[in-house]
Amino acid sequence: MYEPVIGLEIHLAMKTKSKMFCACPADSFGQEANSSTCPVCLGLPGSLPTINYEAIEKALMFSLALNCQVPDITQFHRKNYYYPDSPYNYQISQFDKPVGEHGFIDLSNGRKIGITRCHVENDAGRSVHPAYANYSLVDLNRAGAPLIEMVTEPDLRDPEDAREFLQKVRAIAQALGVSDANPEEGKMRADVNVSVRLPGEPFGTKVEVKNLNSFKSVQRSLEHEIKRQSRILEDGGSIKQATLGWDEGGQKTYLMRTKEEAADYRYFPEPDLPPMQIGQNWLEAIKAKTPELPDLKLARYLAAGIREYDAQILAFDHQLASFLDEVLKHYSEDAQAVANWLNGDITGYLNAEAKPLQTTSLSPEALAKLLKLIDTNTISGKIAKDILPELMQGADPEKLIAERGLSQVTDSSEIEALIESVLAENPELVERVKANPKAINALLGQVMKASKGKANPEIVRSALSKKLAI
Amino acid sequence: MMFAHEIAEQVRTGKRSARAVIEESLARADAVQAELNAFISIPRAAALAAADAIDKKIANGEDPGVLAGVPVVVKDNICTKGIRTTAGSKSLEHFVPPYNATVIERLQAAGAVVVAKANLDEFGMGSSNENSAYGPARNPWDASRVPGGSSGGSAVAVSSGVAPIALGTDTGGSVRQPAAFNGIIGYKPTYGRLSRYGVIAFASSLDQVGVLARSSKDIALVMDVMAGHDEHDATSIPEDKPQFLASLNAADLAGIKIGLVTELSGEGNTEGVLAAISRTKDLLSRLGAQVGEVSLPNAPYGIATYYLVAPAEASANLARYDGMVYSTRIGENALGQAEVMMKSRGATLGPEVRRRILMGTYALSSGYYDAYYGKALKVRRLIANDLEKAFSEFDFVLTPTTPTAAYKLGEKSSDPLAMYLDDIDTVLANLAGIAAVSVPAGKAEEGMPCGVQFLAPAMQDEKLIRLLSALELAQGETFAPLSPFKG
Amino acid sequence: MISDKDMEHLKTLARLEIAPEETHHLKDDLNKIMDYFEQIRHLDTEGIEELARPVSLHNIFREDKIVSPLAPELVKALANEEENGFFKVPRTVDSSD
Repeated sequence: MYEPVIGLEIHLAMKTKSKMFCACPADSFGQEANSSTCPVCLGLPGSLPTINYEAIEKALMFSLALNCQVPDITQFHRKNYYYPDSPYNYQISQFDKPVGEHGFIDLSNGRKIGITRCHVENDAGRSVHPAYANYSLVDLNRAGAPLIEMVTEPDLRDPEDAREFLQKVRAIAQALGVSDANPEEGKMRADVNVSVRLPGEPFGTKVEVKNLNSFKSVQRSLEHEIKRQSRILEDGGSIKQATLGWDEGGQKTYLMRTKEEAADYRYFPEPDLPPMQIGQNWLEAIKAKTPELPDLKLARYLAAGIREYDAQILAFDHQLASFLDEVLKHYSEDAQAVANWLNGDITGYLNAEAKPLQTTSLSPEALAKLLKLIDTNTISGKIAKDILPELMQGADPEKLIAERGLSQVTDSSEIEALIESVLAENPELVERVKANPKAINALLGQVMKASKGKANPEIVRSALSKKLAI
Repeated sequence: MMFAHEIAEQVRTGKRSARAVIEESLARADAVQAELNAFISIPRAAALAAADAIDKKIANGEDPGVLAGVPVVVKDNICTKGIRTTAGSKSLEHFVPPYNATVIERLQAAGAVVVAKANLDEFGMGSSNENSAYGPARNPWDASRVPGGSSGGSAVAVSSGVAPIALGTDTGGSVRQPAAFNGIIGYKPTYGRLSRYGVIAFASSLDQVGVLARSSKDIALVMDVMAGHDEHDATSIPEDKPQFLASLNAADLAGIKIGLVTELSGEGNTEGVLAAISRTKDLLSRLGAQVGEVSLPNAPYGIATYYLVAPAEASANLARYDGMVYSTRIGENALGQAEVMMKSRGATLGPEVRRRILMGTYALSSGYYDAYYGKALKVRRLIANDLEKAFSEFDFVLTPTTPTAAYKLGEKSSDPLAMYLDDIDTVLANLAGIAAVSVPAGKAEEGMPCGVQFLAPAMQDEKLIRLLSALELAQGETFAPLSPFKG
Repeated sequence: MISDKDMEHLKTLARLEIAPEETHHLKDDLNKIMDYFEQIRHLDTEGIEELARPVSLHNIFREDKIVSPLAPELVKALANEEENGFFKVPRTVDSSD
């Protein structure tokens, strides 16, 4: 009976070459500690920040894609707080004039989720805390990496909605090339704010949950919190404002700290960085170079005849969508067939191998060829499925079929011969089928087996039916 | 010690070796150090190696640069690669920068040699060089008196003959005031003409590297080398083509209009300072300039404005000195990070620095921003508007550099507000971002030097230095004499 | 008027450990200075915009390309304490914000 009220705060690691305020590499994954630093990101005395043009442009592109209003002038502010991984003990962020405000994303259930603001800031480094030691170890490689922070209005009403929202944000970020946006690599981080209330009542006290490493964790932690808070309120208790962490192993939230006074960040305009005038010309140029957004892809896939369910999955998965678009360049006869393969066997393969599509050697041309071979009855659907793993590793279907003689058997005399031999070897089965024609599949199976899967099932079926006069 | 332009000419033409020049400079530094304490580090080996490298270039027929062999003293809040840079603080006692400030790169590329890192008020906070963790510096005209601050050591280096040129930094007058106290020239360029990259920040929107010297030609020479856009500093002016030497050629004051600021040129100044103003007015008139009066109605609010803006920015700029990576750490690891940060900062940042950090934190804190910092930024615009209006009528604006000449050590250090009030003439140029120079103007009380200040509109620096050279020409040998200090 | 409680709060915000006696002196100094600042609080600044940056520049950008970082040996040499290239610092209690 309690209804949840959910808001999200999302950080996306931007996909630029260099950091936000210096020319060190933006991505230092796998590098030795403190090997990707300079006076600026180390916060050495005398160092000064400089603004990465590409980061601002990407942030503007992202704001526009989220339907935000973009200001005429945007500027940086210093956000002052002492933080172990932050060498300046302030963050260069945005306060009064962020790159985007008052945007929204529509969910598939029609709900419109408001986006309060979108802004740019620098990331901090990271600390490691060796067990039982009285010290910590700091690596500033990530300090200064460019981030987009986006904050939603408390418009979400369901953990499933929250998950869909995150997937949409990820899809948009990936489609635009703004961020790789994968939580597993830390490129997308989400904190949630959640409270519950009786319908019609004002918002309840909210808690913040952090340390969520995946979309699933977001959903689970919300489900957990909603239950927990509802139970407390039902028992007549009250919710205290707090910051909670999510224990993945125990699947529950834990108290990190109670909410003290709101932190006093003492924002003031960043004196080291002149403000940025945005202007119509720049916005037009950005719009012109913005890649196709997932919603437009969805519309396009539906128009091409792909079912809603499949189209949604494909449009909002950047790798699948890009791959699908390439395949469609070579094979446009049956888009749904391509969708079936991508969402079916290929996704099955990727899940089993725990690999993303782009790390396999499957080429769009190969899949297109495969589909054509099926259409022309050159191979059966079953054979196609059998050879898929090899195609995923880069094999060419035409070559493979030729080498192994996998072509479908369609020649009527060959099929006659196969049927003759199977009928001869299975007299009881023949009797059973003559008595009950619905059992014909058993005989069909035998013929397919005898042909090593190469016979065309439709032709066999009709030949069998004719032969047995059923 | 000769002027920079003379040294360069002699070294470039082989009349004197760079080594000989630098050895002389280093010897003089040693001679004055015990009594005047103007230096925190004297990188003897590096300086001699640099001198030798220049002599080698000359021997090979290569161009050694327009400042070949010129010794330069650098305020110890400007980063010099491989040479300890302390900002006058215990917090940076062991900090050796792995990079050069841009201004240092440019000077060294032109053949100048850094012979010493000069003493200063800690992190630039002070007007007397009594706030240094390395002991106070002293005035060579009278060693019982302060040399001024915060660029005290830099001013002493020039007035005692250690080097013809010194770099300082000027946030509220820290180059101009010590120049006045030492009888030399102190010049603060328009904000953005000299790169701040590598300059340890005090107040980012006010700081600017400044030059202390005894000759306008020397200033012009080094400005042509140092000025110009720096891609590392987003506040450095984009298309800046310095034309200082070229501009010196037409030093004529006929028809130039100069406005003496009413609010700053009367009561509050000593008799000696008022007499210097009077002498200056006469000289300007003799040289053909028209001297009038101009009002800057908001000038009296400059101190309050400055002492809200500067500490606020400083409170953020100095937050990084927390004992974690490169700044001095006090306290066992077991105490935990927050505790060690508090102990380290409390113990390694001096009293004046702590005072200003607290002031700045307060001015920015929740509920007070609009009343203090935000308000100060609005008054800042009023002050800038006053100056803009003055410059629509006058080419330059004239004030005393300071209300008094140099006072005795310890005389003002017990009352911070009294010390702050001395900056009343100098803070205006920093708040408005315009160019300013303190010109030696003879002696005030007790035989101590004093200075008068000229302000020019932003980007009119070349014209300001040209004005300087006209005054220099008119006064000849008496213009900026070396102090009589023997050492 | 800055109170004793305010002073403790400011010291925490600014991460400054200051002895009680000095804190007391500083409180007096700060109050004296803040009194002096009252004069600007009453100035008429209606319609006046803040001047945060003295020179009017806009759109100063850096091209998005990589420049070699500092050599790790130089970076290690800066540190009070280091271990395997990491900066070794006192233990942090709360590692996330």
